[in-house]
Amino acid sequence: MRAMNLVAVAAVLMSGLSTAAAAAEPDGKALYARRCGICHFADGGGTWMLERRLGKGQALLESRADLQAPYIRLIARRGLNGMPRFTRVELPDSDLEIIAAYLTRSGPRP
Amino acid sequence: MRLILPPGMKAAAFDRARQALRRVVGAQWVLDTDEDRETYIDPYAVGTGAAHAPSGAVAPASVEELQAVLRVANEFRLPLWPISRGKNLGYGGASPRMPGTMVLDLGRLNRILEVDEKLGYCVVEPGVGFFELHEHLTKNRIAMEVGIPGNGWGSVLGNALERGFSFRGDHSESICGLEVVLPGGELMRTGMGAMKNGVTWATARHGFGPSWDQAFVQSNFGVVTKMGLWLHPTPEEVITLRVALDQPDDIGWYMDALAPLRLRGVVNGNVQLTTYMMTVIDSTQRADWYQGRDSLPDSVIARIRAERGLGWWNGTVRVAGYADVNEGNLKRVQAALSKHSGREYPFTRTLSAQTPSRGPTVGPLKVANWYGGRGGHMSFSPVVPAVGSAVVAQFQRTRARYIEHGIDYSSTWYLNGRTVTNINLLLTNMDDADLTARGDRLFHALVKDAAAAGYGEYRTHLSYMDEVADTFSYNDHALRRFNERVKDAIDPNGILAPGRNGIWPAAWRKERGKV
Repeated sequence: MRAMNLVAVAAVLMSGLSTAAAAAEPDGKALYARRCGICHFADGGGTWMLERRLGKGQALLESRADLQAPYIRLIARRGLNGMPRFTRVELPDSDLEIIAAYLTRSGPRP
Repeated sequence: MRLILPPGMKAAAFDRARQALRRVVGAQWVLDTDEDRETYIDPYAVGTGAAHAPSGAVAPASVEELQAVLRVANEFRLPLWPISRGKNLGYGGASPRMPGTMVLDLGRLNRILEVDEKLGYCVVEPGVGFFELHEHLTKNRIAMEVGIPGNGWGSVLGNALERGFSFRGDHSESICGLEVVLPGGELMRTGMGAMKNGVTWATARHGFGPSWDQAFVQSNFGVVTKMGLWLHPTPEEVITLRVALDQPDDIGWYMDALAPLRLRGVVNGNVQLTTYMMTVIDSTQRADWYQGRDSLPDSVIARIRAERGLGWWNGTVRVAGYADVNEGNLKRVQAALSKHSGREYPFTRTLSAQTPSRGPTVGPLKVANWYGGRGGHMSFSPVVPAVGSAVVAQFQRTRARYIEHGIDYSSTWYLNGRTVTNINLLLTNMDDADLTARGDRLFHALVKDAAAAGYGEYRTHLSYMDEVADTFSYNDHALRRFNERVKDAIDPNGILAPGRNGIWPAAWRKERGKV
């Protein structure tokens, strides 16, 4: 089961890369998959820890409607519990803004 | 984090150096806000991380910019700490050894320059991660694989320079040909790459005269900007035996049974054996099992094992290659094991044509959450002879120390053939000062014990580099004197990674031992 999920994550990572649109104009969903997905998709360590702290409904970041951009920026740069910090080389401000916009988008959640 | 200057450096000189660096790489790539500094602090530091706090980071986008950065560093005597992607987690992350050192972040040099499927190698820059290389191989249907460590988040090149390993063995042994910027800024290529048009740079291990590739591994003699790395042909079939051993001392016969087969290539990957920990971290934390402050009692370990169906030791043996050859090798492995255990072990067969190879993961990092709070981990990693009695003695000695210090024992053993590398996890909650202090005392005791037995560590965290280097003391530290004579000759200003692996340049030598 775990191996299958890892393959699924890899497939999502790759699908995010393979679209021409992703290269030309960074897409929030694809960037989120690439930068955050390995820990914050289902079965990821981040999802698991969020579920333990906040409950199942709050575990998947993509499904949440209560996140705010300043908080996302803060956690990305400062880390939280077991989550390491991201430098501006690994995750430039421009990419972080796109990811924050994706996670705080209006509309229905998966 | 507030600015900490390199020892002895004046604020005015530091500011002039920063301005000069901005002119080289552009203002946005000198990362020196308080928040920037924080992002380069080791997330699993012993204490606050201040002992290894950088003064900032500079991120060149090309070899030419890097050369210019080194010239600025020499002009202002600004120490630099090169990182590839900074994911040396458990060993210091992106942090420098000496506080105030500026991180030289090579993450923007991130091209896969070449992959040759026929000859089985790639040439990569420091910023290329395992995810990117694996994706490149998969997307282009290249039937080659790269050895991927437990934490697959990091750099392919950086991991090999740290002697990271996987079931493929020590990744530094796959290095073939480097491009290096020397501390003064001069560009050099090793091996056949030293020719103007060296065609076999990444395929012939040696050029003419001394071989220097390994001199840039775990050292501070240059900044590696390109690396030739041998890839592994995707096997036709992989057979994976799953082994569970019931008693702690079973590890002895197990190593004796498999070491000859590993040496002869019957088992063609490192044999891995680990405690219950790496399984239970997937879905539980310590508090789910036990609340005591002492080391996990045997009764709790027994309950974990019973509920999860685990052995005291759990592992895999990998037989990979052509299916008909595998068949004979599998029989030899089963025979060697059943001679001791009286049973055959379950196994799975995977045909590479039908199942994509498993890619990188960061799953094992979950282990940092074991104690809760701000989780952290370090590794104590001695290299032991592949002899059962020696392995059992080292295991018993180590576990006794864990119990004495009230820390949960968790370790993995990788049988390489002639040696076994033993990765012992020191897990902590950084919000628990007492636990962290006990972990620190445990580490010191383990280094001392291993040294007394004649075993050195293959790699260590920044905070223990001097201590581990000090155990390599033959002839009153002749090797250290040699390393530092080389260091002083090629880096007279001592600007590159002072203190890395216990090698201190004259300019900062008085900093040795300070953490």
